[in-house]
Amino acid sequence: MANNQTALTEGVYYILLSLTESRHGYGIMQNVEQLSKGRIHLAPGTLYGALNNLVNKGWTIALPEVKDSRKKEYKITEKGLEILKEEVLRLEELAKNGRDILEE
Amino acid sequence: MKKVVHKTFLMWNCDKEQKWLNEMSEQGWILIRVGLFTYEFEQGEKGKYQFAMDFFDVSKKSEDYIKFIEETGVKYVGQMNCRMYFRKEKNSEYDFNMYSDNTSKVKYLKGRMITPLLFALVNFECGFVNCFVVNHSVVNNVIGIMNLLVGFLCVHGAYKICKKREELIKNLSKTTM
Repeated sequence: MANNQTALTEGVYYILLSLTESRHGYGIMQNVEQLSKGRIHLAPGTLYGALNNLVNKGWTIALPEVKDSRKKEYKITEKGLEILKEEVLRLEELAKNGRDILEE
Repeated sequence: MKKVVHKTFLMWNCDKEQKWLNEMSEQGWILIRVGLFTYEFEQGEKGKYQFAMDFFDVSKKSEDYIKFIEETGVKYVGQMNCRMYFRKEKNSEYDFNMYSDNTSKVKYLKGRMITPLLFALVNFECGFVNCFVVNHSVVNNVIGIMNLLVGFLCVHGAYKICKKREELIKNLSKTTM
């Protein structure tokens, strides 16, 4: 497992999860809110910065626009998917150890 | 009905400005246009909209950015002095802001420090030239001293933003350890 990677923030984690299907900005916001049962609300400026960051890292790509009227959509890349899977393993380890020790 | 209000907010007092715009909206005055120290309001439904600002920097291709923001149900109102104004219909669950987490807020504040610092630099230079380099007339001295005062005021502003940023960073490291 890669140890050189720092933990993803909740926002980035849920954005990546949302982008396993192609979605536009507003779609991501709604999905993240739904997944977290309203706990996490992404403000538009924050989401814009996070998406640009993810595109620069090569974890997501902006899909080519079909028509000018269509909203710009994003999707996770292979590399992004790998990062996400590693993060799930890391979180499982954290949760499992937490449960094991607290339930003893 | 429309009304135009002339008002100045120092660039580091964005929070006050936002609060004022939201209070106006609560009273039924909705910001529709901004200009140099000018705010144009139109009468409308009380408390329907909330306002937020963002700092314009060159890293955001402004058309691309505005399009992205507008696609999330936010309306772009206008731009003045590097500040972009946005409005959104009020939501009972959370207040409208352009940034929702401390990491992006810290970045935003860093961007906001640059303008006052540039202003300070220009004014210090003009002040220095007026006071010490050109002929020592009263007019030059007065203008020079004013330049220096504005310069100090801008440094003070940048310092205030810097303090706010440091506080956020402290909170950030508290939660991430």
